[in-house]
Amino acid sequence: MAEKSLEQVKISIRVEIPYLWTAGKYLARLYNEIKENERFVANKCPKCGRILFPPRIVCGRCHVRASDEWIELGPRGTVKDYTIVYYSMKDPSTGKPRPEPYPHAVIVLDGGGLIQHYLEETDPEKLRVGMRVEPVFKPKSERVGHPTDIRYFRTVEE
Amino acid sequence: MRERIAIVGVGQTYHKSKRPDVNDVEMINEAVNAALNDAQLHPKDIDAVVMGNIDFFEGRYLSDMWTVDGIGSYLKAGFKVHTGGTTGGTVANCGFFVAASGLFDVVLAVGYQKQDACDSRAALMTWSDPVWDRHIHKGAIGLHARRAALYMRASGAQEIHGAMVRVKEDKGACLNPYAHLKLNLTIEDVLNSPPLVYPLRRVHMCPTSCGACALVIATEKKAKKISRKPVWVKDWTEAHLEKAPVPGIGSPEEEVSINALETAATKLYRRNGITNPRKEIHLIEMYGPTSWSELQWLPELHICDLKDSWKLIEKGVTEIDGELPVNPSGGVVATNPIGASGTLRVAEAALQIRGDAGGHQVTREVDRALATAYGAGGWNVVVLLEKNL
Ligand SMILES: [Zn+2]
Repeated sequence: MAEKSLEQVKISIRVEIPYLWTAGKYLARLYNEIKENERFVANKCPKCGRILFPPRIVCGRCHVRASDEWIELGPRGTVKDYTIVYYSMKDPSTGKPRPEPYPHAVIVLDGGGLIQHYLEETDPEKLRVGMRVEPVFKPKSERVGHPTDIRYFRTVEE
Repeated sequence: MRERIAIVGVGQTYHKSKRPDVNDVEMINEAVNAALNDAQLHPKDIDAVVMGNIDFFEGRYLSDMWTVDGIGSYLKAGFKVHTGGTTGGTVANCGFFVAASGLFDVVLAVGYQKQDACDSRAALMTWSDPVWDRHIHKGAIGLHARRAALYMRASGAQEIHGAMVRVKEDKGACLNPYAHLKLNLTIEDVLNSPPLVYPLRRVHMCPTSCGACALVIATEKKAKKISRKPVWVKDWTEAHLEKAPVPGIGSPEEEVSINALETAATKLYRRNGITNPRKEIHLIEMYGPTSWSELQWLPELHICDLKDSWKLIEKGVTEIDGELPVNPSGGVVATNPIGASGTLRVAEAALQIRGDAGGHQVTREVDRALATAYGAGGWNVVVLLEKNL
């Protein structure tokens, strides 16, 4: 009978795999609008009429080709719901943990379409469902054409 | 016309967060041997094999090849399936499909996960869309917190109801020799557990477990020869959600609902003439990744209205000695070897029907049970098991 420590051999390996993903022409349109014009755009399902945001080639429910007519959404929106994150979670794009606690919100853009994002307001006392918000974009020189071009949503008084 | 099929053997490992004493093959073999012993069969009696795991967790794809020795699939027919958190349920369903095809007499279905191999939370992030929202993703915890918060708002449930479910699950787990977390929790313990994402606390969330579960499935003729207590697989259904702009919801109208579970359950009830599931179903082993899931999803299974599910736990209906026990095994919140978690729901429901669940055998007679599986990817599985053909 071998020693327990001899039986339990562990092998540790860290794997880094580079990926290169393609956004496709519909998402690319949205990303270019974010980068160039700080705007959100979407398309629609010609059958059920719902807004497809992020935009896409097909309505997954109706199985029909989505429209190539573009509509503008937001940029302002309303907090549909939010929650407070208390545990440290690594930001997958930076690998660094985000200081907690912080709010995380689902926002309905004006005109339709849902987006999940961080809020500038972190005081739970000042957060409420239904609050009006607008996106704060990175300066144009730093924008790359990706949702990370949006820093967070900030409260607006209307 | 499909073959009538039954589960004639079940086996599982004990569950822990780490199993440094075994590798994947050795761990899987514990469950496979237990299932074959339960059925009094030899590997040569198995005609086809269905297996599955989330292979990203072990960092090795082609898990079907790497586990041949542990499962005994050498030169046998079959395939591997992976549907995220649903995997274990899909493994069971695919085992049923294969057995019901009539092409094979005896089928082995095996789900497993060895979550000590990597940081599961990091691995789970890869299910989100890297092109759209991975940067903002909160993983499974955030998704379920969001659903629980919406459920509370829609139903009038309070934090204490999630705590009551957690305590009930823990009571079952403490009686289940194979369960992972056995915490002897009180309501106060749950309410004082550290918050993760409101209203989810640490003890509400399923753990990361190592373990495996195997089912032996046979066609009617064989099943009657193999087992004195075959558990009949009456029916099984599945439904998938669409790709969602915000993970977990497809549109503003889908608030608490996950929709696909309801679709799968409705289809199953309709096909089997079940009109009053609250009375006609005797036990449920539900894949609930948090203690809130049971409250949110019993309405999806048409057991009660959304506003009433927290009243069921208040009245003790879903307790181990209740009228409709839910997760007497302790459920996924106590034990979560994710690729096996759905298979375990089916295995546990089958053991309850046989009367062989042991310490956590429910008080009431179980002639008909449901098992479900869920995954954030959207696939929802519902299985109907019966004592009598
Ligand atoms: Zn449509």
